[in-house]
Amino acid sequence: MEKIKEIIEGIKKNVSGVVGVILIDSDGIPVEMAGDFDMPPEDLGALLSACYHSYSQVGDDLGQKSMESIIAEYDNLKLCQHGMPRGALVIITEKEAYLGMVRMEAKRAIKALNKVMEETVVQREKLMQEHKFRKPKEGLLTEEVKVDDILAAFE
Amino acid sequence: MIYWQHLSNGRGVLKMKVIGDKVYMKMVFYGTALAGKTSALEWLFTNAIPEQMKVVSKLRQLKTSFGQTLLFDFTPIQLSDNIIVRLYTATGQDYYRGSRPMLLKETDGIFFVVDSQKKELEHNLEMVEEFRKYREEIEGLEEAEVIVLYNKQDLEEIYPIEYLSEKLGLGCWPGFPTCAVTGLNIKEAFREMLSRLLNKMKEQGVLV
Repeated sequence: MEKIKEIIEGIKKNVSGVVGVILIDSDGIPVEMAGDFDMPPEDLGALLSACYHSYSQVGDDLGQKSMESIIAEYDNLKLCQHGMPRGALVIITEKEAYLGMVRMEAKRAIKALNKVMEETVVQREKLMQEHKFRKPKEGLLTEEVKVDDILAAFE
Repeated sequence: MIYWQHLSNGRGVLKMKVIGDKVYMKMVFYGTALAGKTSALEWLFTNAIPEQMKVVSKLRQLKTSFGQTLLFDFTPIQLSDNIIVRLYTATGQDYYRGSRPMLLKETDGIFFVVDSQKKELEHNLEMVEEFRKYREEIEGLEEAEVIVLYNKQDLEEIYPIEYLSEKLGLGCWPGFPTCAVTGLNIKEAFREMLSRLLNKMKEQGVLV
C-alpha cells in the first residue's frame, strides 16, 4: 500500500498543475488518492467508473481491444482518466497543465503501478490483498457490529 | 465479486468486496423503463435511510435530457464504520441497455422491479428474459440475493402478485407488493435484503 501511495503522490509532485490523483478499482471504489476533492471520493469514484465503462463500452462496440485514456476539459480543470488492468488512474489538473506531461507521467506511473502489482506472484497477491482483495483484520467487525442493531434502524 | 476468507475462524469463503477495513455491498434496482426503480430509491433515500447513515446529501443521478435514468442513480450509505452499501438503479431505457450488464457486475443484491400494470406485461417478460441471461453470463450474479418488488399496486388495471409471479417465473424469490411513490413496503423490502446479506456475513462469522 505504501508503494502505491508513493507512486500516486509522486504524480502530484512531478507534474506542475496537478491538483489531485485518484486510483480507482474497476467498480469505482477509491483505492488510493492524493490531493483534495470537493466531493466524496466514493461519489467521485462511481461517476468516474461510469464514464470509464461508458467509453470502454463504446470502444468495445467499435472493435477496440482496450481503452488507453479519457480526457475531459472543463472551464477550470482538466481530467485525465487512464485505463489499467484492474481499474483506472485519474489525474485532475489545472487548466494550464500540459496534457503531454500528464500523459507521460501517467504512462510512467501506470508502468510502475503494474510492475509493483505484477513483479512476483507473492507481491501481486500481497498488493491485491492490500488493495482490492485484502483480507480484513482478524476479528474485524466481530465485536463492533451486530446484525440486529443495523436492522433495528429500519424498523 | 471479490472472494476472501475470514481468517479468524476459517469457516469458508464469503463473497463481498473488501477494501482496506471496509466491506462494500452493492445493491441494484433493476427492471423495465418507468417501473419505479428511481422512485423506489428516492423514497428509500428520503424516508427510510437514517441521516447518520447517509454518506452524501442527495442521490447522484445521470439522467437523460428527458429526465429518465441514463446510466444509473447512485448513493452510498454507511451502515457502520466498516460496512458500506452502494445503492444503484440500472437504466430501464432499452436505448441504454448496454450499460446494464456493467452495472450488474459484482452485485450482492438485486431488487427486481416489476411494473404491475397489465399493459406492461410484455416489457416485464422481456426484462425477466434479459435478467436470466445476465445471471448466466455475469460471473457471480447467480449468487446475488434477489427480491421482487411488484410495483404500482396502487393503480387500477394491474395484475395481482400471484399472477405476475407465476407468469414471469419470479416465484422463487421473495416478493413485495409495493408503491414506490407512497413507499408502500419499500422499507420492508430493503430491510429484508439487508437481513439476508448481513446474515450471510454473520454465517461466516464476520458479524455477530
